[in-house]
Amino acid sequence: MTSKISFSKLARAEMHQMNWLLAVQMVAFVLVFPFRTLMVMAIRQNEQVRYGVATYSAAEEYARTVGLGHVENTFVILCAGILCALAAFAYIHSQTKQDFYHSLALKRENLFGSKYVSSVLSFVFPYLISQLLVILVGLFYQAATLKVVLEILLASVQGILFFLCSYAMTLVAMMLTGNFLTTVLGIGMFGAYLPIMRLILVSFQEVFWNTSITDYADSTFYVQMKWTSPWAWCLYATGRKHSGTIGATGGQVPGIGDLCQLVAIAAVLTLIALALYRVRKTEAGGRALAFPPLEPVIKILVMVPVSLVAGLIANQLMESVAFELLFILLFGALSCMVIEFIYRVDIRQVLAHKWQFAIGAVIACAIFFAFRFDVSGFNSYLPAAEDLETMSVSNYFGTYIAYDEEGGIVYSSSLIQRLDAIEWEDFDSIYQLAAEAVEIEKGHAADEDLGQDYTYAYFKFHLKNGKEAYRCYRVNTERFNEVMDGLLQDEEFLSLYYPICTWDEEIMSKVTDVYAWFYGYDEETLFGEPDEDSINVESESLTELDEAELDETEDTEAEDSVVSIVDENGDSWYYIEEVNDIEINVPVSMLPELVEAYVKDLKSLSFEEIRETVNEINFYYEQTFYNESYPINENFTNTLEVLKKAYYEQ
Amino acid sequence: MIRIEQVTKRFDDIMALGGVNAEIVENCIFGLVGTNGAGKSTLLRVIAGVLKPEEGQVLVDDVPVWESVQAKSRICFIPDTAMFFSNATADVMRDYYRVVYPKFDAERFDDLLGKFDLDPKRKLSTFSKGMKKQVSVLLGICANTDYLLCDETFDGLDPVMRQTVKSLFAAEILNRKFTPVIASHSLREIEDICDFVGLLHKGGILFAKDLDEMKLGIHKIQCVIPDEIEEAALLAELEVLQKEKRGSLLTIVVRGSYDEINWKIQARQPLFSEILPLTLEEIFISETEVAGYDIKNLVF
Repeated sequence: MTSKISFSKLARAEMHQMNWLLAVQMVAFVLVFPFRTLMVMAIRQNEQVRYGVATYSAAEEYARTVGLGHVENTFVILCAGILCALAAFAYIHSQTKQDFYHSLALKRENLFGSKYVSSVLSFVFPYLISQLLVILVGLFYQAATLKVVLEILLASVQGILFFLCSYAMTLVAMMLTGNFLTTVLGIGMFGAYLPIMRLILVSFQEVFWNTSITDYADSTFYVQMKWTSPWAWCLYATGRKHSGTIGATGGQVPGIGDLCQLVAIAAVLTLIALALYRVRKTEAGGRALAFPPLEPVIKILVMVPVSLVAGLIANQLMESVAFELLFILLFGALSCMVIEFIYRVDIRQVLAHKWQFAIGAVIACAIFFAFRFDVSGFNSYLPAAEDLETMSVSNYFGTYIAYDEEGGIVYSSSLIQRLDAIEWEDFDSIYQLAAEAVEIEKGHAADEDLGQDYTYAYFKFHLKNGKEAYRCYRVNTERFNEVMDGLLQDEEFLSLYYPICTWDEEIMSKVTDVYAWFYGYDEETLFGEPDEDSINVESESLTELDEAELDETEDTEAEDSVVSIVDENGDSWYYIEEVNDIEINVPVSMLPELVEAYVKDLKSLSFEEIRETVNEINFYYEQTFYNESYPINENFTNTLEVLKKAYYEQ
Repeated sequence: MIRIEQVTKRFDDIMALGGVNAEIVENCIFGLVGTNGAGKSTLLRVIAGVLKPEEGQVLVDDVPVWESVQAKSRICFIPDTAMFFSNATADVMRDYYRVVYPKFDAERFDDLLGKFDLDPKRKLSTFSKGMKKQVSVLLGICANTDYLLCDETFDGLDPVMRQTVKSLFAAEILNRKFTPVIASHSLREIEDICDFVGLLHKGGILFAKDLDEMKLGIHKIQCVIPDEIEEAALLAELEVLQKEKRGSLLTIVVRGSYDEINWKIQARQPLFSEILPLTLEEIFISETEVAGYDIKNLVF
């Protein structure tokens, strides 16, 4: 009769063997979660006692410290995932332990399951206890509202899913490798390889595709990054503070969809790990890799990015094809030797498998020089006009508000999103400008600076087949102004280009603060002599303020500015000049008046007159630090009238 | 019965086992001998279901052992280096074995620990190599499985403990269905305990036979036959494995039954004749020389 091993008893016995892990995590989590919260709350209380006032109320302080959106907490949880997986499955790297475990009357999947359950529970218990203690700290300081407590519970669920993702990813790495060193390298590879490759690709685009638009402000970049590794996914899910529904604790409240995505990642990775575990040979323990056919693949996968980065460094240092090639081959060879040493642990064999180096070198050179010499013609891309659905053109200035699919405010300085918002069907003049820009690019590809007659313009090509391409081309400034003047004549384009033109009461009701900044101005230069009408009768008369007192007003900040001059001999001289910045806080009540004046100015001014400025007027939304900014200068006479009024009233 | 059928196991380019065939009958002690690297441990690990052979299979009562809960539940494997949890005591290991070997006899284990004078509360990491071996053997015996696979079990045990463990094995065989399979590089260690012996060399099993049968079928003879024609005739009618002549004293190792050999010798009217028993080592030397192996390098 067969005596079967009880799964639950085995899982309990395994957990008993990992008591040390439970203890280590308990200490770590208590320090990271409740103890930190306790310290923050105690410091806040101390502030209140000592100074009579604290930066935040107890409830605010508590909400800021706990719950969702804390990347540091996610980091600790991801580390716990790695630690638990290593502790539970370290036996697969030891022949002695494998002899014991694999001789037991257990199916491999049952052994896997018992190890999995026991190690996951060794995380879950201390983690949940620490979260409970966090709530108790909040209750002690009378700061734990129901909403915050619910968010702590939700963050706990999210944290467990983060753990499972990191845990399962580590398992996959462990199943593919045979010793501790290669496991650690494997974990790093799974967690960071694709993000690093993505960043290398971005670097190549920035260096060699100088007409590309790398838009870190575009949320698409981060959405793409999250697909590169489970860690990136978890950090993305944690860091989405500025999109989606923001909870009381400051982080984005994950929806069911978000949590399901994490469950799916953990499940898929676990199934992959289990499948590998079942086919993994016992004798793989102690080897570098559990599956020897992977050796050349991994070697080439590591060698190629190392060579690419080396080539890029050589390009930045020397800009010499010979040196670039030398660096690619040299560092590629070094990486191959290091990997071969890790595989064999035999210095005599570091030069083995030269064909693998040859393949890697060919791939690295092909990628590098394809970018280097723009083989794909990226920098001179101009689709046929008949293939285009719409085009967009813009020159970058300031920020504007955009909303993501879930209605949350997203990064608002995104060029990509700005171009997306101003797609224009009657694009003949834009196309002509782009065609001229491409010719300039072809003629001056190697010239970094074309002088003041040229400026950068950003284009979007939206093709009829759905494809979209973004480029940043250098254009003749006069031609650009001319084209833009033509386009801005159309009120629809004007509204797309300057969304403020279509602001209605609903949008204006969301604006909570308006600030205008003028750098290097004083009141007289900006507004001229103050007149009686512009001064609020209830406020102190400006004429009663002496000049010194005016200089000391908090809205006028004196700054030192380094000014450069060149004398008749051609020598450069620098001197420090004191300049003033003016900050004007416009009351929200004056918003309709201000918007009306600003739109009136936009319509009357030429594009050149609008853009000749570094000053800006900012509209802040819903008390977030996201704002929509617009250019402003002395040409905006109507707007300045309103600002003048606001300035002397503040 | 454990049946090993054409088992082949390779580690990269190294052939660890090459088409091994053998049978291990129940309630006997099976000795697996061979030099280091002969494939003893590999064969035991294949039998235990730890390693999957590339070819062939191991059957426990006609059930393939690989990934079979039914077959593996009848086997306990004590590897050369015993696996103990870090900081574990004998008590901790006992509790774990109770979970993974449902028939584990904890009371007997405690009792035996006492008899072996092993402290159940002391950390196993502080035990000597021999003491660790003792604990692992006791755990294996108390697991109460039908088959106990022991890899170099007597290595590190002092003579008294070696004899005690042998006695334990013998007692177990008398009391229950129990078949130890003992792998060792030393014939002398297992000669007095094994019923069956298998000899492994370079991944191949040379033979696996009943030890008594083997001893009854092979003999060493010392005799003096004055007539050289008679001597030549005697050598011709016997199956001679080894021959040595010093002066008039002829020493031969021959295959055959005692009576048959004795009758043939006496028929040649020897001045002196004596039939001597062979040690296991001598049997192996003779057998393997016939098989073309240099046994002097192989066994000792």
